[in-house]
Amino acid sequence: MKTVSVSPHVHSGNSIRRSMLLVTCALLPAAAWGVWSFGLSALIVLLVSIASSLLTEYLLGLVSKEKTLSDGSALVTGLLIGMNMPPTVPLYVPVLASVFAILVVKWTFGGLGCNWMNPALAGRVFVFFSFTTLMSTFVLPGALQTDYVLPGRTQEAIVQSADEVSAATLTTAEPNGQGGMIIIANKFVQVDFPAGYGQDDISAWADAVIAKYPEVFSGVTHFFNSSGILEFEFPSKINDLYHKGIISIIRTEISNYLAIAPAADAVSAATKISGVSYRADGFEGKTTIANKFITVDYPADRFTADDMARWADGVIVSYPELFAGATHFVGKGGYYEFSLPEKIGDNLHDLYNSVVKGEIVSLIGSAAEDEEADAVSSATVSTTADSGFGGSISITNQYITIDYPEGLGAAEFSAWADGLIDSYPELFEGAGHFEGRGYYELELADALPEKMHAPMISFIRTRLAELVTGEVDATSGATKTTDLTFDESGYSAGVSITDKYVTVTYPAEIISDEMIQKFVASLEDDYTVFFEGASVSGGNGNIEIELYDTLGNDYHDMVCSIVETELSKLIRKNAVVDAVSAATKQTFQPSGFGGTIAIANRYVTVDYQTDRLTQADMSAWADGIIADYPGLFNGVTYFFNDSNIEFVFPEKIKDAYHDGLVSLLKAELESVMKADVVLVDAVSSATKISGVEYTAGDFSGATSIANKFVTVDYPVDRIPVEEMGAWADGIIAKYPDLFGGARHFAGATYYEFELPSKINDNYHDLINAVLASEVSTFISEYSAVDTVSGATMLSAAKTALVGGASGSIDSRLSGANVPVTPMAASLSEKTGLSPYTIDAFFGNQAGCIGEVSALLLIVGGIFLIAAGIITWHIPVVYIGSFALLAWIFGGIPAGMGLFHGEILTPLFTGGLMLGAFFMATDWVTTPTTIKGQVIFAAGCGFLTFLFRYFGSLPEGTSLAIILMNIVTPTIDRYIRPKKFGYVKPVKEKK
Amino acid sequence: MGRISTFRRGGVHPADKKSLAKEGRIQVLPVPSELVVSMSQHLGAPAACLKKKGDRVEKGEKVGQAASFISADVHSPVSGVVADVRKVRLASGAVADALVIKSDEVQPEMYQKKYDWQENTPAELLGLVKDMGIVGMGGATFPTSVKLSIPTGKSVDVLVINGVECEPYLTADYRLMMERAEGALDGIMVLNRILSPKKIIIGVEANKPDAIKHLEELISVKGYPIEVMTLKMKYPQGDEKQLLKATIGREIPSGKLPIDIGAVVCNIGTTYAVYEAAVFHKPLIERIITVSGEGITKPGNFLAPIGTKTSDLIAAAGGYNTEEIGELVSGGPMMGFAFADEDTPVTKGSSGILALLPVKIDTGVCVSCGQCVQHCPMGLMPNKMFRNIRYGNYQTAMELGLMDCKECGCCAYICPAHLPLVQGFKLGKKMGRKK
Repeated sequence: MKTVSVSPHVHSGNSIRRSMLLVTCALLPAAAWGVWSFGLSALIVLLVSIASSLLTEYLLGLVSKEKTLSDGSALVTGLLIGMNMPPTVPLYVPVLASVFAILVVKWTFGGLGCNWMNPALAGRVFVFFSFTTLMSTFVLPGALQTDYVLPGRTQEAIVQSADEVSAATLTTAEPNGQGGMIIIANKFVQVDFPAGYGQDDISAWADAVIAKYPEVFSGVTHFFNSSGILEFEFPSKINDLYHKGIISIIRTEISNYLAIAPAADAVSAATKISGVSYRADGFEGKTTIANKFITVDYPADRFTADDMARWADGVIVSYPELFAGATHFVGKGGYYEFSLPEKIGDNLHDLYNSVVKGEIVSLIGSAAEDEEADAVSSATVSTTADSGFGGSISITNQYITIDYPEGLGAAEFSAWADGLIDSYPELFEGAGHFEGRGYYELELADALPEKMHAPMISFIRTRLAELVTGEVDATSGATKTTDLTFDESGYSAGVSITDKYVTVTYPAEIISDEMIQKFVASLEDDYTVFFEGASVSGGNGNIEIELYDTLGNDYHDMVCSIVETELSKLIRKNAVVDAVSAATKQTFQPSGFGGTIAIANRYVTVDYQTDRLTQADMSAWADGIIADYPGLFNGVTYFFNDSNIEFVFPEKIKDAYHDGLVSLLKAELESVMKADVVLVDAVSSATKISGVEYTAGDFSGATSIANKFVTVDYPVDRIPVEEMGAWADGIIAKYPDLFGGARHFAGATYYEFELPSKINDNYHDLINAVLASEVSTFISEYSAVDTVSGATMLSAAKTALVGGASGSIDSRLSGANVPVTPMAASLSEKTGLSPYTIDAFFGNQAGCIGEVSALLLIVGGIFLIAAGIITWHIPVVYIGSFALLAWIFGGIPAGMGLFHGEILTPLFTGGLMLGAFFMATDWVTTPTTIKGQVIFAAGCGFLTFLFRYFGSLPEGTSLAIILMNIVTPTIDRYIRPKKFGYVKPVKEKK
Repeated sequence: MGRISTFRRGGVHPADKKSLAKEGRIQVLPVPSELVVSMSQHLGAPAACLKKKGDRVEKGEKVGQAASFISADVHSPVSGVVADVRKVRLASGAVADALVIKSDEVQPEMYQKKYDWQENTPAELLGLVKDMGIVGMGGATFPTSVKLSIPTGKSVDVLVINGVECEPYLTADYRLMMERAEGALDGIMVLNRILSPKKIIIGVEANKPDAIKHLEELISVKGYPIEVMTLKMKYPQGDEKQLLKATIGREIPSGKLPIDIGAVVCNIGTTYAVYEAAVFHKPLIERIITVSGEGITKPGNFLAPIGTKTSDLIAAAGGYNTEEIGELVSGGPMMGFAFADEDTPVTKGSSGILALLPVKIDTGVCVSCGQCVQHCPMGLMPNKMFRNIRYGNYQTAMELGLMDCKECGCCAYICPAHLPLVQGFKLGKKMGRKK
């Protein structure tokens, strides 16, 4: 049967299926190398990827009724996905990648030939961003797990490198714990010492420190630099690992010194700034103590400066021990300020804060009551009271409404009202009156202040009685004496009115002269009618107020009532303040050192550790406190009980003082306990147990110091005892000052050093820091050896860069303990090439299954070019453009400048070769013209370079290619081949 | 000899398969008992038939008269009787009037006498070319006299003789160069006289080194001003555009003719026909045909009268060697026409008859591999043109350069998806022209 078809009648034999099979063949060597390097798991990943790709393609073929499985494209996609997986990735990752690649990327747009991204790469990028950790977890190839070399990391090199590191003059600067800094650089330790100490003091302190820590401070001198700051000078550069420990020691010693030093000069040393917050009646504020100033926030909209001044005076009077000699003033911005005669000792802060807080809260709280009342009067709310005659009297604004008593009518009231207005012009001047239905009403000239309501009702009631009973005290001008005594809050007070004199007796113990003066002034403000122009004489519990004019008899009750009301308020307010007689509070607080501090009545007991401190110690301490705080501890004595010291105050201790006192004593106690460490032989008293945690790769453990033993955890399953022994010897040799004379032996899960003597508490931090650093380095190195997980070269180099390292890729990789094969190491010596380049070229590197062997990928790529499946343009331009950019700009992130980028290692690492030869050459997703392909490849090179060197991820090939895939249709639209015989159209001349 | 030149862009390298028939010396085919002489032997208007059924014709007698400027006379290849005048389907698929001639059993010995063409003027020589019905024998069958009539205002720089024979299987020109080179060279000199070019180049592909050597020897013996240029093997170098690019480095602008860049291209077979016309006044009534292909028992080269039926040629080549013949092709496999009827006659342009084995080809989908783009010698984008034609966007396809496509078949040859690109373009051109 002959057929007739259109020419050509021969075919090249090219077919998609053949091409796919050839691509598969070209990929196989690199894939096989991956399996050989990473073992069975790699093979399984490859097979699962291929199987899931084929299955997805098959199922989609069933759905779409197109038989596409045989074209081999799904096979290639599956293989490429597998080769782009880390060898130990969980199997669902390649399955998801395959399904995504085939289903979403390939078939959504119609299957083979229609996808606009390389399916395998899209699958890889999809799972990479979905399972970033899994996709970034790599293992070292088998060759590096059995036999390896760490470039630049021989045993001697480790010891040397430590010195070199410190010689690199790492500068450490940390707070000294007292508001200044401790800076270690080179062989100098610069110490900010708290202000208030002379150079002699500081020198003495420094000498003591040097003498106390001979191991560390051996040969150290000290001086004051040009800025007057103390500097220790060590004989040689200070090992970086010592920095933290030295800072810890100095910090401890400064704080110890400050704890003793307050005995001499606590006040001047006071540098603390403290404060407490409070809340009262919806206002939130805080008290602050700094230097000799106490500021307290107050609601400026509610209190005038005068109010606050009055309050402050009260505080000063109430707490003479604390506030003697204090002045006060309004601060800008809503606070009020006390200025004490001298700095407030740090340990007194709590006391002051709590007292001031208590007072301001009570001020705002009580003012809130007043304000409520004011608020009512300013509103049109009436006060109503029983008239005493079968009706009521009610006052609203300027209106006084009176129910007619029985038997009286408007006529009587009218006459009565006229009489009132005539007789009592002080109250009723300008008033009018009229009758209502069942009541009579007086209209005053102005609204009656709320404070006057009660006196006015009382007054009206008296006048009404006169009207009803007909008895009229006509001798209004005459004088009578009215007495009123009353009790308020347990205090007696009284008021007596004769003629124009109002005598007020009040409890002088709580109300100072000044306060009573203010009290009278406030009466004058509030009850102007009666007290205008009044003058005051006397004091100390008894004053006489001379009114401007004789007070009419009828006003006596009213004024008595006013004085009683207002005085009661004053007493009530101040009664709370006085705590001495009322002090009933008992306080028990832990001392922080295993005992308690108890305050009851006028006794304060403080437990102390009798095994560590003698009575003599505590006597000295107590004397010191009494001397330090002369105000508070004025007249205080003390004696000793079995396990405590008891202070006896001359009088009951105010409740408000309890908390502050506990705090003060705690701080003082702390200083004596700490000072003890300084004073007593630190070594023999060492009781501290300390430790730090560290991690090394996937291992985490801790160092621990107790008595004279130092233990470090290590992975016993990985590191043999002998190795740890060798390491311990190295440590002892390397740090003779710390470990001189130490022995060492293995424990169950740890390794132990035994030092000749107990370890000084203050050395703990230092030793812990040194050991944690050393052992984690050691474990990391050792782990790099026979394990398991390794970063890819790219990611190790990038991580080092992010971690602050700079310099060549080699130096960063060796710094990160990336191992190389002995073969690469020896070849490196012969050729001068980097051992990493050599390993990467041959495929001895961590990475995805199919990307590690640059050599085999290049071989496969050349095979494809020879077979005519791909042209050389894309791989060569891609690699070339990347290499060019890497050379020109690649050195910049590593701090090496222009034209110093390395080329070879970046070329052979990551997926560049796999990408350049097998992914970027994908027919479907690359331009069809050679010119277009060159542009595409250059774009890939540029993007790969950009992502790798300036992106956050170490690798950029996949993303670069995918992005350029997206650009492909555009490239194909505009880049066309030059037509044969194409002549540029000649522009017609116009 | 310096560097081997070729055209730069595109092209493919199909297996040349020439070894099948390469060594087969030219055999003169016995005159078949019946011939079918088409009036459409050439490009252009078919000749007007001068005979009718029952008429006797003599060998060399003009039986068809050129019908227009681009047309050519047709002569009877044998002496005999017109048995019928009917329409026949040619290998190209075209249908044309044809004389079915029963040949006499004894044919006259003719064209033994040599004329001295040197005495003829160029115009006389051109007249001879026209009268003898010479057409281009490379396959396009363009009337040679038309080609040689240089329009006023143009001059010929270079005469390029096409000895490339880039189509696989075909060895007719090769055998000609090996066995009848002297005549061909004389023919070139006739053309030289007609055109008086500044330079004459024979382009031959490097797979015919013995032909090159033979030609160079003859040229040096005769002292002709002819250069033999060896060309790197690449299809479609036998196309005049690619040949001129390869030999003189000039590109014929789109839509123009070789003469526009001062060149004339002539097939080596044509020069031999010119030689015979000038020296023996012999019309073009026979040609060398390669009968080859995997399905042929004894592939070879035959000098056969025009009008010989395919079946006669195949029989002469030993018949088929298998039942499983896929296609019969007239011409080369890249651009030749497949046909099924073994009675189909050969024409002046039939360079070969190929019997090819069946090939199973599954058509796939375009995967944008770009191979067609990269291999298109005309710098076109076959993938895009094909896509547009498939969706009926003929105009877009034309804008993409469809008319520049000469159906050389490189794209379809290389396409991994086996897309029927050339078929598409043929359709597209037809539909595009209609609009």
